[in-house]
Amino acid sequence: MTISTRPPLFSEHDEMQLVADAQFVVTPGPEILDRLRAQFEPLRSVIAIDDITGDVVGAAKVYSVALTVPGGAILPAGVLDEVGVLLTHRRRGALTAMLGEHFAELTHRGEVFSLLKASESGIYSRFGYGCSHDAWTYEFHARASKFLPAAKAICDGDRGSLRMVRPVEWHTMLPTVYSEWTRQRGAGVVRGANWWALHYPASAAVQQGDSSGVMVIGHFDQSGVLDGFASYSGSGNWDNGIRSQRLQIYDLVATNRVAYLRLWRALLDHDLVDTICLWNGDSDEPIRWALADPRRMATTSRGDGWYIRLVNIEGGLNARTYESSEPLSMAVVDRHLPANTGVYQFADGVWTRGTAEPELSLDVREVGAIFFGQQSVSALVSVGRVIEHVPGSAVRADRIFLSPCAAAR
Amino acid sequence: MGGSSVSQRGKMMVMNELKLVPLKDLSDWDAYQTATALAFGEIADQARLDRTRGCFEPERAVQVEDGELIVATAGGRSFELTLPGGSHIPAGGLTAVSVRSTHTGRGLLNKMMEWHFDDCRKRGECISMLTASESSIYHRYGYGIASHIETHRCADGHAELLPGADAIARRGQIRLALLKDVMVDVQGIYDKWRRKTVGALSRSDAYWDSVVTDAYTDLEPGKAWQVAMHYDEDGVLDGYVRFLLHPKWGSDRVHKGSVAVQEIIDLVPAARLALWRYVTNIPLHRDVVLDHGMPNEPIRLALQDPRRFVTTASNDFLWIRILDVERALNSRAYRVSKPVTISVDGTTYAMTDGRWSVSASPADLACSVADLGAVYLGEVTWRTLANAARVTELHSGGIERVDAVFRTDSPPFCHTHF
Repeated sequence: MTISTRPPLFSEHDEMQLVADAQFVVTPGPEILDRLRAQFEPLRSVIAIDDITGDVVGAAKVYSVALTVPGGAILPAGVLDEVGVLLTHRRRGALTAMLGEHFAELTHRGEVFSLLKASESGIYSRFGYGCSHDAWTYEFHARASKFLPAAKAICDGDRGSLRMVRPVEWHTMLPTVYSEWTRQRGAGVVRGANWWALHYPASAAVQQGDSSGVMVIGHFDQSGVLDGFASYSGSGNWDNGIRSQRLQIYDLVATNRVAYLRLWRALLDHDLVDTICLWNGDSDEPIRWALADPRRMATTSRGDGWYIRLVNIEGGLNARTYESSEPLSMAVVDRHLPANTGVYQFADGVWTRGTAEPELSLDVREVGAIFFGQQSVSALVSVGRVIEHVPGSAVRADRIFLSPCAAAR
Repeated sequence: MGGSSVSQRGKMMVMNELKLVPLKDLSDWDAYQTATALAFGEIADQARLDRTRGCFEPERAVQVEDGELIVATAGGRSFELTLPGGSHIPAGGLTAVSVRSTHTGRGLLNKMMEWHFDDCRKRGECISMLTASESSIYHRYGYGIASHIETHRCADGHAELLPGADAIARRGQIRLALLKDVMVDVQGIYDKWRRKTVGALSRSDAYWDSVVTDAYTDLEPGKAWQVAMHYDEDGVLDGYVRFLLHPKWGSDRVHKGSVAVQEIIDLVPAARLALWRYVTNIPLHRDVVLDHGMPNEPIRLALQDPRRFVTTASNDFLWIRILDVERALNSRAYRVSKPVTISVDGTTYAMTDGRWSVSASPADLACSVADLGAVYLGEVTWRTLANAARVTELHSGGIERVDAVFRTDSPPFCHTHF
């Protein structure tokens, strides 16, 4: 029994969707299905077919996005989503074949990055993906969230304004601020129009399995230009006549600290709210340092954020800039895309293929892990994931890859 | 000072004058500690007072007396603190701070803090440290959060290492012992480890005695600290893990025991992997909890399924109050030497050829001494503090330049309570 792969036809969307649904044992309602269909990119996606029955037994959707890398360059990239193989066809190479097709498609387009957010953290490293960012979850005790005097003064003295952003304005107003925010951070997935259409119309909350609506509050600078927003939903109950409400923040995006602090202040002061939860937070969220009682911001989990796979290592490495120009040579192994296997040399800020004696040896997944400068090479050496042949080269690599960028979301 | 103590049943209480009394003698411990314990709702029985007396440094402690009554306490402990670059400086640890709940709001804490700061300065310490009972108190005294600890959990069956890490972890040998029987070895390893770990503190013999006798932890009767020691392939001791076992059977007779890991102390990364492999393979005890875990724990990177290594909390641990800015700045090392200037509470310090001195030059940024305390060991960047409105950038690009100078290789780590 063999399995073959190909891009789906547009008309095959719903059949393909059944595979992902079986994977996660969910059935999306007609409204979500309509949205998924509207954003479907069949030419980029992949299905696996059982050659005997002709059934679709594996599916992987791909969406086009742009990726901001350290230094500010913005590159087209593919995001892998809703990957699944039917339980009747496991362990027959369907996933390997679909990813091979996906990598070939990226290469054909001249793109160098594949990205994903994993359902399980152990799966994708064997296909060359490395986790480049952590995503932290924080819970705020809203009623004990006083600011330190300086942060309070900034809020009190702000000449800008807050106003609720209506759903009809979301698509025109939010993406611009979001893009500027990722540019400032030097890292991030610039969400395409399809992403916004998929996640922000009916509600992001529906996507997250929450039935309540999503609200967006915006901060506008003195001249009335939107420079930050927060999207959130609420859930709660009445207990003994006391409303106990919890806010879930999806995005809190601000291009300056005034907007950042005012948006936080507005949410923390929300009537009837006890708890505010932030997903996908940075490890060093500035809000912690603005609180008079920082322990009231509890860290409740650390998860893995984006996984990144360099399909073209030389192209990928040269897309970003580096703060250090010290030389380095590293041997990279790529079992799925053997053309990538070889020695990469860093000199005068540029990576080239070469024949130098490698100072470090690593798999392509570790290149993904260190690419944004968030994951230390030395730490990977300490657990045997990167081999250091020349003492001191890991520390040098840390200085080269180091980037002041914050995490992508 | 002084005043007559008139407090008799049926008569009105007369307010005495409050006296700040520095202590001198070990025999002061019982009354002082009894007053401190009361603030935390505890009664200090004699056995416990005797167990805990060893760490008391009477000449570093102060109490406030209201007639016969001790109404406030603050103590100090002497430590060596490891700084970025690997230097070690003496630092005073503020501890046992209490104000009797009938005497709050009268400035007693201010008085005791002043006394403690003076005491540190007299001893040549440019830094005071503490671990906080509440996180809202000490910012106003100039302390900044200088390190944090994390709680990690790894459930049964999910601790498997990646093949490369597993091969490293299988090298060498493990020996199991009770802590009390291997104190000399454990102290030796700890001391080497803390000298290379930014934020770590020295531990005196008295400290280790308090650990062995469970002076503060109040273990259940019959429980004992276990230690697994790791020896490399040449038989050299290079790490240990200290832990307690908590066996438990469910009603279905399936074991659900856990290992409470207090610390994994390694001199080389291989020892850490081997000790992790050991501690996750103890029969009947397959859930592992590290509640004084390192931030960025490298073991997470070595696991086949890193998401199963769950971080459930991250808490402030060491707070730092810099008492002599110029000396503190010159005590640690910097990755690069650049001509940067910072204004700390209005005084400007400039770095020239790797040395800091008071300067009249315009500053790159302005901050408070609490902010410098938070940045000092590498816990947070100037950029993050600026985004929280705590630090002001005085000209464009200033923060990034100063951050490049202060940046450290790894986050600081301290898990020694005092």
